[in-house]
Parts: sequence; C-alpha cells; structure tokens
Amino acid sequence: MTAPVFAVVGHVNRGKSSVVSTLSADPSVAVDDTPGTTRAARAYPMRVDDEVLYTLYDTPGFERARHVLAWLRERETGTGERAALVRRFVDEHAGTGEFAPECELLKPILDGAGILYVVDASIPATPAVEAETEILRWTGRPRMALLNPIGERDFSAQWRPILDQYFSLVRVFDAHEADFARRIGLLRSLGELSEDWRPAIDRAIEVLDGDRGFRLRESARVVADALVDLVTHCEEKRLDSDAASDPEKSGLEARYYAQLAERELRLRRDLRRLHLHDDLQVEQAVTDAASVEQLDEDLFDLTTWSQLGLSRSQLAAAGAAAGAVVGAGVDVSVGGSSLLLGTAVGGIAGAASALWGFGQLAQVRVLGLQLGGRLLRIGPMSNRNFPWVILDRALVFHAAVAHRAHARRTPVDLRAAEGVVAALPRDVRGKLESAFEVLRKSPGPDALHAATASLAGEIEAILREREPGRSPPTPR
Amino acid sequence: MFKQGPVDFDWRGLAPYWALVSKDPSLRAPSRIPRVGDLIDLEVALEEDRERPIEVLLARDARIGRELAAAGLDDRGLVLAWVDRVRSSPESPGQAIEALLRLSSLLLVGAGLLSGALAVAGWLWTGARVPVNVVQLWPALVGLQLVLAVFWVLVRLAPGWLTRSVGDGLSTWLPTAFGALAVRFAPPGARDAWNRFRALDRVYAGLRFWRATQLSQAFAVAFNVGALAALFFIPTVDDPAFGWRSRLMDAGELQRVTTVIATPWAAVWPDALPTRDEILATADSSLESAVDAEAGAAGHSEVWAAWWPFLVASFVVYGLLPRLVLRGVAGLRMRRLLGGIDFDHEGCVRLRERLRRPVVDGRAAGEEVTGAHPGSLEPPLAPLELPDRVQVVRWAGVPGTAEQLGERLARVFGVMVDGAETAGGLDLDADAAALAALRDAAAVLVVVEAWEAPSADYLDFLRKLRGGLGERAPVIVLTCDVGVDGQPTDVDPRHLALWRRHLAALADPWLRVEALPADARPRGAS
Ligand SMILES: Nc1nc2c(ncn2[C@@H]2O[C@H](COP(=O)(O)OP(=O)(O)OP(=O)(O)O)[C@@H](O)[C@H]2O)c(=O)[nH]1
Ligand SMILES: [Mg+2]
Repeated sequence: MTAPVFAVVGHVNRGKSSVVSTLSADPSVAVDDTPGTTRAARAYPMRVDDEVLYTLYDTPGFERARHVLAWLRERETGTGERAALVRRFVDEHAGTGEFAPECELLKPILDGAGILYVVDASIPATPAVEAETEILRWTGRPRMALLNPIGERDFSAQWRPILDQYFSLVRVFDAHEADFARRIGLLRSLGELSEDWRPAIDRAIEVLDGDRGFRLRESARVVADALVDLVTHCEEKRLDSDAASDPEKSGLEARYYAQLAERELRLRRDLRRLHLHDDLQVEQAVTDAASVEQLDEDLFDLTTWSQLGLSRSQLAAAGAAAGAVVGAGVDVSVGGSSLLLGTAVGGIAGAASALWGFGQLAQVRVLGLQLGGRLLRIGPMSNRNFPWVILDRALVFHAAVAHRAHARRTPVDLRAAEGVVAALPRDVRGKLESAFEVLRKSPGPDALHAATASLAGEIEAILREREPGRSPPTPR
Repeated sequence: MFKQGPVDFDWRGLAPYWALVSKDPSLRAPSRIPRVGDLIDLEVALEEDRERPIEVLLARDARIGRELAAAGLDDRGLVLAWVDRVRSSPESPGQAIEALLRLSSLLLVGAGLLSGALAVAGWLWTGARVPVNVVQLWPALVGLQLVLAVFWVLVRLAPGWLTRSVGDGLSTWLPTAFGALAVRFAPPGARDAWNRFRALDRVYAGLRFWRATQLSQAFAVAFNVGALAALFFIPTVDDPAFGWRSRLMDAGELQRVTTVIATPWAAVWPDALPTRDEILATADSSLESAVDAEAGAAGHSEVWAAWWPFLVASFVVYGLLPRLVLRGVAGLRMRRLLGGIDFDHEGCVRLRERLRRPVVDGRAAGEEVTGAHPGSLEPPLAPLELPDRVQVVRWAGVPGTAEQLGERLARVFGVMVDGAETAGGLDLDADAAALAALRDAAAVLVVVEAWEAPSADYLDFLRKLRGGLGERAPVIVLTCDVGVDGQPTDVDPRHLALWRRHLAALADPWLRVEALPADARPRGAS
C-alpha cells in the first residue's frame, strides 16, 4: 500500500496551514493573519500505531511566483522537460534567500507529493494565481484545488473557470468551519486523485471513523462519570458540639459547591482533551457557591439555569416516565391483575416527586455519629433539575469542542448557549431520569454501576445522534 | 461473571512460545489464572484512573497496549498483563492482601496444629491418673468436627431456608470476620483496598466464601494433624489409659456403635476396633481394678492398646479426610471461579478498548519554527504633501481601467494623474518599463489590491521604485477593494493595517499606505 504525500500549497496567507491543522486535527499548527507565517515545509504524517497512512505537508506560500515562472519560461526547451526544469530551478535556488519559500514548497512536490492548492474564495483572483497554477502544472503531479472562504464574500463563481483549467478536482473546504464529516469528505476526494493512493486513504478513513467512534464513546463515559460524581457528591465535617454554627454550615456549603465546580471543570477538560482541543478557551458557567447563595425559590430564574435543564412540566413528565417504569414492574409481578394500576400510580408518584424536588437544593444536615460527636453533612443535591442542567452544559460543551475545526483558535463563549436536553425525545428523557433517580438515592455499588453504564449508553446515543451527517464536500 | 467450566491448565509458562507460533490475533494465548491480589489491584487501579486526566490514560494505555500487542493475549490475559504493569509497586494493595492471606493461612495452620495437639494432650494427660472416658472423648474431638463439617456442606448445598438464613449469615460473616482480622494488622493502604474489594461483591462475591473455606479448612486439617501427632507422641512419654463409662449404653450397645463407626476402615484395618472382651475389660469399674492390680507397664499398655487404634482411625477418617476434601474442593472452586472471570464489567471493557484501539495521530512532531512577526505597527506618520501632478502605478490585479482609476484619483486627492503604468503582471518586462518611466518622478501613487497579502513581490518593486526616485519623493501605496459585483468597495481596516505593518519593513520615511474609499466611484457608475 503506497502511503501518499500531499503538499498543501498556495499563495501566502490563504489558509494553507489552516487546512493542514483541521485535516490533521493538530491545533498547534501556526495559523496567523501575518503573511509568511509558515517558513519551512513541515510534515504531518497520519500514523496508525506505527504505520504512516499518508502525509500532509504544510508549506510556505508563494511570494514571487511571477519571477519563478519567468525563469522557467526563459529556459523552456520542450513540454517533456518541464518537471526537470522545475527541479533545476529548485536545485539552483535552494539555499539562496530570494526564492526560499518557492523552493520549500516545490520540494515535496518534486519528491512525489500530490498537490492541494488552496485559494481564498472570498477574494478576487489576481494574475499571481495564474503564475502559481502554471508552475504547479509544470511539475506534472496530480492536483486538486481547494476553495477556502476566509472572508464573508463569495468570489467562487469567478474562481471556478480559472481553477477548472488547471485542476482535475476542485472542492470547497472551509478550514475553520469543517467538522469531522467534512474532513473525511475531503480525504475521500484526495483518494480520487490517484488510483494508487486510494487504498491507503480508504484505510485512513476507516481508522479515523473508528477513532471518532471511540472518542464519542469515551466522551459519553466521562460525562456519565461526572454526572454520577456530581449528583452523589457529599461533604462532611465532624462537629465538636451538638449543633452546627452558621459559619460551619456556610463553610461546608462553600466547600461543597467548590467541589462541584471543580468536578465540572475537570469534565470539560477531559472533553477538550478527548477532542484534541487542549488549549481551547471555552467560557461556560459552572455550579458555583456565589450564585447558589442567592438561590432560593427562584433558582430557575437565573439566566444560566433558565435556558438549561428541563422545564417544570418536562421534568414532571420525565419523573412520571421514570415512575411508570417502576410501577410497570409491580404490574408484571401481580400478573397484570392490577389493571396497570402500578404503572399509573408509579407515574403519578414520579411526577409528584419530580415537582416537589424542583426547587430543592442540597441540604445541610447534622447527623449523629456512633462514636460520639456529630457529623455535619451537605449533599447529595436533591434538586431534580440539577443533573439535567449539568448534562445540558456537558452536551453543549461537547458539541462546541467535538465539531470544532482545529484551525480555529478563537475562544468560544457558551454562556448564553441554548440548552439541548429539553429537545430530547420523551423516552430518552425518561430513561435518563430513572438513572438520575437511582443516583439521588445513595445507591449501593451494584446499582451505581448499572446506573452509570445506562447513563453512558444513553449519552453515547445522544452524541451519535447529534453527529452531523457525512455529506461530501460540495461537488463542483 | 463466573463461567462454569473445566479447571484450566496453567498456560502461563507457554505464553512466549505461543506468541512465537501464532501471529494470528484471533488465536490468542490462554491467559494465566488471576489471583485474588490481581483482582484487588485491578479494581484499585481502575478506581484511581477515575481521578486521572483522560489524556494521561489514553497515552499510558496506548503505550502499554503497543507493548502487549505482540503477545497476542486474550481478553483476560490483556487485563492481567495491564495490572502487572500499572500496579503501584511490589507492595501493591493486592499483593499486600495476598501476603496477609498467606500469613493468616500460616497462622491458622500453626494455631490448628497447636490446638489439635493441646486438645488431645489435655484429654490424655488426665489419663495418667484417671482413665480417659472414650465415650466423652470421641464426641468432643471427633464427633463435633464431623457435625461442623456436615453443617458447612449443608450451608453450601441445602436449598431453602437453611441456606438463606444461616448460610447467608455465615458466608458473609465468616469471610468478613477473617478479612477484618487480617486487615487489622495491615497497613492503611491494604485496608482501603480490602474495603474497596468488598464493595465489589457484584463481581467477586463467590470468591470470598471459598477463600474463607480454604482458610478455615486449613485450620481444621492442621487441627487433626496436631491431634494425631499428639496421639502418637504422648504414649511415648506417658502412660495414658482409656476406658469407658456410660449411663446410656451397656457394653453390647457400645460394641454395636463402635462397629458402625469403624465400618469405613473395617476392610483395611480390622484391628482398629475394640473387641467385645476389650470393651468389657475397659469398662469403668473393671478398668480401675486392672490398673490397681497390675500397676505395671505391660498391663497398662494393653489397656490403651484396646482403644488407641480406634481413636487414630477415627481422627483420620472423620477428622482429617473430610477436612482435606473440603479444603481441596475449596481450592478447586477458587481456581474455577478465578479461571472463569472474564473481566467483562464496564471498567474492563473500557480499559481493553483503550489498550486495543489503533492509535491514530496526525500531528507533527516537534516545535514549529514560524516566520518572525514583522515590525510593530508603523508609527503614526504625518500625511505627505502631494504635489499637483503625480504618476500612478496600477498593480495588475486592481480592477477597472487606467482611465477610470485616473478619474477616481483626481476626484479623491485632487491631483492630476500624469501617467499610468502597470506592474505586477506576468510580463516582467512591464515592471521594468514602469520603473524606467517612473525614474525621477516627483511623486508616485502605487495602487494595489487591498485583499492581497503584501508579499515579497510588492516589497521588491517598492524598493526598486525608491531606488529610481531618490530619497524624498513621496510614494503612496493606495489599497483598493472591489465587491463581488465588480464595484469598488471600502477597504477593510484590517487589510489596511496589515499592509501598513508589512510595508513598515521598508523603513521608508517617504512612503505611506492609504486606502482608496469606495464612494470615489468612476463617473457614470451607479
Ligand atoms: N474565517 C476564516 N479564517 C480563515 C480560514 N482559513 C484561514 N483563515 C485565516 O486566515 C489567516 C491565514 O491563515 P493561515 O492558515 O495561517 O494561512 P497560510 O496560508 O498558512 O499563511 P502563510 O503560512 O502565512 O502562508 C489566519 O488569520 C486564519 O485565521 C477560514 O476558513 N475561515
Ligand atoms: Mg501557513
């Protein structure tokens, strides 16, 4: 299996590095609006275990293409010699400063790389383009053009006829907007450049697909783990006296909420790492003591909460669904002789308890200790909407990092993001609610494991559901 | 979790050869049977992993997975090999607990030997003065053991209330008691580990009962060995006497009972059963007279010789053998349970996925060397005074004709455009011609595409231009932009800033970068 090499080339500042960054899921590639950011050709080998399936080259942009073309044309003897002449150009100029970028970008091509020529579809074409494409044509390598729209405007109608003359494939690829599916779409197009490269590219797509599945599954698991930790979390403090003083109570409460916030941040960090956005800055609220101190009955009037989690009626419905599941068990055990009474009663009880627990916060309680003294404890969170808010934030966060192109480095602000759990299908909400219900009841290890596994399964299904379709890049 | 199946042969030693023979990953080498310590360490490690950042887990398990890939391990073997690699140290909690279990097993054996020997010795010693009453000794030292052994078996086998009430109580309480006892002397780490292990009943519940059986039966075996040893040893230093006395039985009945008891060994050791004469002779009343009358060693030895073989055989058959069998069964059950663990709970499934997944990485190695950022922003410079007449260079990508451009410039800047040259096209001779025509011009406007990156090509041209102009002639680089419809638009301030930043590299005090506004439309255009 030949491992193809692709050189991503183009004029300076056209998003070449962005394309490479997004395609290789490498957020460390230098992307900057300063022309000439990339100074040397740099390899991005796509490795699976120790095997390289293909290699991308990020290259410096053309700066003096007109002059290179003039040099070539002056010495042209026949069409057959063109590639050799380009090689001669590189040999003669490598090391000299003037054509350093051109030599750097031509080298991988002369060594057999396929060409990915990047243009900015949001600006008009200029004569420099003609020089660049002509030089690339002289190398005789398979080539494809990418229309990367950097700005708002769309000049692609102007670009198409120009690019069609020189390139066997022309594709649109927005390097800053492309999600995983579009990455795969572009890879597939690369496979079309040459029959020899097809098997390696197909294999790469297969492996990347598998890896994506793994990362989604692992994301679901870390979300489920965090939900379990957050919902079941308790803080305790031994008391010397029989009653707890107010500072003791508020101190414990502060510690409790600090722990919740820390755990939520750890979840986000894990999600970021899972999707290789190690340093991406994301602004999103956490459960914090400060906001909770003002919380009373009006918990859900707070802006960050009101758009997340479930509404009162949805929560009641989910509680009813969860209760009905338990009630249905009763019906089965009495052989149906209860005329579905169990289901009905369970449902009503579930809904009622969901409504009742809607405004409840974690309570601070004083517990007796066997060996003298007393224990001050806060948690677990009795608020029924709490896991929903956490899940909502996690899903919103996941969507922000999982579908984000690695070329894009600007901070993400999710503080006003729309929630998603309210839009989940009823039966899914019911299943999640029954798992939350288990967590709230300080379950034993068995029940806890079962609830965690069921949560992870449901969340994975949600994540897969929300995975954008595999639409190929716009055909020309 | 536990699969019933034949006890596995221990393939551990063959694994390396297996790996050589089989390159086919579907033919995986059978893995070794896990030990209790492995299970504890596994759970401890999985628990600790919950606190670790995900990328640490992914990287570590990718590395371990790669190291283990060649061995072609099956699911269980993979998990065990992983445990071997990640366990904290040779003194990991699991191994500490293993050591504790071994130690407690040793202690129990010691205690068994001692108590067996002491129990027998205690009974026989009194025999030096008063003959030992066999009718009491046998039930106390042999019969009770037998009852307990039968009870232990019933606990495990009997269905219904017995298992549920007594059995559950015993099979949870006993191992817990053993565990708690062992853990009492353990370091805190091992204590935690044991508690965590106990929390995993779901997975490992069956193990605890059989481990406890192993320990208790080791004690019982040792007890019987100790008792037998005492039984053999004491007559060499003392003269114990056996007799019998009972209000419930006469000699005939006793003989019937002893015959029944001796049935198991009747065929192999018929002499280990007191004869009717011997029973009569050792009856309590006659015994005392016998001892009194003879008071000699020879007669004495006859007295104990009547019962001694019977007692030895009883200890062997009703004490030692059942305990050996129970101990053996417990050992086999442990092996089978451990061998049947296939590690398919969530944590292990997840672990194996991390170990086996192909590691995909498209990132570059090492640090990238990037281009030096161009100088800081151009310091605010005063606008240049333009003379009335200027020359214009139009870069090839600038839309519109030279005339349209001239009109626009006249309108915006109120200057007369003296001549318009074109540069930046594919024809380099045009650049040269423009430079020649501009030599010694009073002032030059260079109109460029604002959206273009200020590449080296422009810088080259501007340097050459300055070379021909002399130092003080104003040069204005005028950026312009165009919409999709082909009409002029305003220049994006970011583009203007970029041009200014880059042309600052020329360090030319008589050069300015400006933007051509959109409303300077050529006449006639809407
Ligand atoms: N909005 C948007 N911006 C983009 C896109 N592609 C590139 N950019 C921006 O364009 C600028 C140049 O991007 P790079 O990827 O560094 O371009 P390059 O071609 O590698 O540049 P050089 O290495 O300097 O030749 C950066 O500021 C990017 O953020 C895109 O698809 N959308
Ligand atoms: Mg670059």
